[in-house]
Amino acid sequence: MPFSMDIYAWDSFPIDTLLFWCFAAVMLISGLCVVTVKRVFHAGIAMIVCFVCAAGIYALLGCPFMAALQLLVYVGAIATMLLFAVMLTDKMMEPRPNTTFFQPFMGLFASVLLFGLLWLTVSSSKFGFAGWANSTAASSSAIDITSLSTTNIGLRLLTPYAVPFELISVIILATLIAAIALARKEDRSPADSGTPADAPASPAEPASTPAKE
Amino acid sequence: MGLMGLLNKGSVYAERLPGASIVMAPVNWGIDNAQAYSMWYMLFGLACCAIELMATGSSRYDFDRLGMFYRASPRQSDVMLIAGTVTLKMAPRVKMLYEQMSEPRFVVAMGGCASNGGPFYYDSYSVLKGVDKIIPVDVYIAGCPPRPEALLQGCLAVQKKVRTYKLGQPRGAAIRIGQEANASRLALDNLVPPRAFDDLQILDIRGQKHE
Amino acid sequence: MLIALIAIYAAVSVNALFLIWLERKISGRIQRRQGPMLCGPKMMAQKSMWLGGWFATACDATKLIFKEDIIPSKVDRLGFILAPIVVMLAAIAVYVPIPWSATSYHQTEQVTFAFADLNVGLLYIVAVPSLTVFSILTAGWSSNNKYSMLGGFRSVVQMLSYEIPMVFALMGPIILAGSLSLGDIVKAQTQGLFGIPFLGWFIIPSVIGAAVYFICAIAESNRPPFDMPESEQELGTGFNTEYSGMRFAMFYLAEFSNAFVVSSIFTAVFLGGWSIPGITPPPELNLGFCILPYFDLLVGLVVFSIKAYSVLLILMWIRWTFVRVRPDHLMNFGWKFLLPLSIANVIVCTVIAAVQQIYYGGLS
Repeated sequence: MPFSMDIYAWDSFPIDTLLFWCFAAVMLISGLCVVTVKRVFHAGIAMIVCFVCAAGIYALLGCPFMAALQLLVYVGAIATMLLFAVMLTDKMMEPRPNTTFFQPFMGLFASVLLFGLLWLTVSSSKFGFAGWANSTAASSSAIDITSLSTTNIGLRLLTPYAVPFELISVIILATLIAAIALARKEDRSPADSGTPADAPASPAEPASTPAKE
Repeated sequence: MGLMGLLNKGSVYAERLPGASIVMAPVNWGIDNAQAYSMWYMLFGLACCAIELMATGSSRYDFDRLGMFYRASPRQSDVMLIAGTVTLKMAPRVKMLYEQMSEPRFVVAMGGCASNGGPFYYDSYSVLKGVDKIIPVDVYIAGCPPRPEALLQGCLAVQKKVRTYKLGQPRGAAIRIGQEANASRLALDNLVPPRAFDDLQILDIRGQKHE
Repeated sequence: MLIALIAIYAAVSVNALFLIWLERKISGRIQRRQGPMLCGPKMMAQKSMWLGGWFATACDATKLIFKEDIIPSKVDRLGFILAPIVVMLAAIAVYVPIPWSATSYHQTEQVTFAFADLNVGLLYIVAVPSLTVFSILTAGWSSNNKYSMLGGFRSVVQMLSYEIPMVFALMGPIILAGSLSLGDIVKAQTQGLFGIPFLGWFIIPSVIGAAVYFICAIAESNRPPFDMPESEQELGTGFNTEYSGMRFAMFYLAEFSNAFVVSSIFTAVFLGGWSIPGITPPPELNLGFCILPYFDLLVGLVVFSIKAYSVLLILMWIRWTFVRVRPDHLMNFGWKFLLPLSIANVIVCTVIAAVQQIYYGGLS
């Protein structure tokens, strides 16, 4: 039993439950820190703590595959790249300048709105991994650990959900090509560069330079 | 900071207890020797003495036998070998590098220029007449430049000084390694055979055995 | 559990201390020097250079503990204090799923001796070092020093780019073994390939993957020739320039313990772990249990450490032989050469696994 709400069962010490509350508390606090601390860099660190706690909760739920992916993708790649971008901005050592008076209230309003939306969605949907179970016509409302194993996830991704999976990979490929196209140094035609040394070659050159790009 | 400070001052406080010196003596002996045998020197050369410093660090003389190796950052180094002429323009940098080093820190003035302005630049307008005018020096080594043996003897002298040094107390008088050290090859031969690879033949540039 | 955790920490620290001594001695041997000689029993030092200076790293560690701990005034204190702790934490956490040995004593089948044989062990081992990336970046930036910052940035670029071919190189063994668990991967290697027991090690079907993983692992653990993040000449030890005393020691120990982790993973994934080639003991027979209980466990431990230390010696040999690569060469090498090669390795391994499955029965 990876996670039980039976917190009062003291005869078997509920280490999972304890760990869950620890992770949840740290996650909430660090999530608050992301939006409240003055320095953007500290907010980034708090976000990474939040991600690590999410990985811990995945592991507690009996899905270590998701936990490892959370660490690998979110902590290792996304958060690091985000911090990287934050560090390259100017004057990050100083605290953030004071915001306007209405800004906190606007943020509060937006977050309350989002929270309400999420609450409506969560409370109106049925959990218990019915979506996973229905495809094999073995519906059960309890959390089935075997359905969360790595082998099962792989099989589901490549048999019933093969088309969306492949579609996502096509989208990622398109993004990759777009990023390369954006980052690539343009082949300037010699006429644009305007240096006198290149100028004599300019009548012959444009034919060879790719005009499509 | 708090933990590290407690760790560092722990022995000082512990010695005030009655009878603690019996317990603390071997501990202090261990710590002193540990500090003496891991003197990391700063990767810092100023003039021609630095060539001798490099020679001392390389295969023939081998600083690593004493447990010394270079660190490129002053924060991590224990001993600063002032290897060469300190010009007036370089002097503020030398002082800054010394200030960036972490305690306990030691300074060796290597060669005539670092000790007192040197045999060639004694009347130069642009040379600092001895590095002890800006930072405290523990060991002076004579020579222009000193031979690697003399430098090794200077490092042994620093080790001797490290063993007796107590944090926060005035350090003793500077040790001077004289000219005679340059003539004799006494540095380490008594302690450890200088070459372990007698079976290896040193070949000269023509591929013949070196005499 | 707590005892096991403390044992992990002690093993990491002591082993890293020993590795630093070994590295200094090996660098001495390669450069025709002696390495540390004076700090240790002098009688033994006069016998052989390999007996001298045994206390060199112990001296270094003691000195670093008692050295002044500087936190420069203009650093970002949170990041500066957090970074070495997280690096050390990640270095210890990686040790969890490594299968040191296996035993069938009292059991009907072989049980892997690991701190926890996770069923996503390989993924875990790739995922946890990403904490190191983050904390090295943090260390570099929060030092408020341009050399540190450049070192941190270089480190991130290098580690993120080499993570991708590394994961692809590890795909080959995963496909061949049909499992992400390191214990299962080692067990799959005891069964042989195409019915020949001697071909069981995954370095044979996935030789490209082994080479790519080895190179990427050196780059991941920031060891020379891929040590641009801490290059002494132009960056002044890079991301740890401002660190002194114990905080620097944490980085230093983590680096060497990462080197040992890399060689352990290479041993487990490509060199058959605790297994001896050609010998596949039936699980109900505990080899030599009449001599000693847990005899097979001890044999496995010895075999594993021999293999791991051999890989480690090659790592050190490489370190003192090759010069540092240039950053742009590093990027070109990683993205244009290693990545296609590792993808080709995945295809080769898939074909081999399919042939094995069809003609010789399943591996798993």
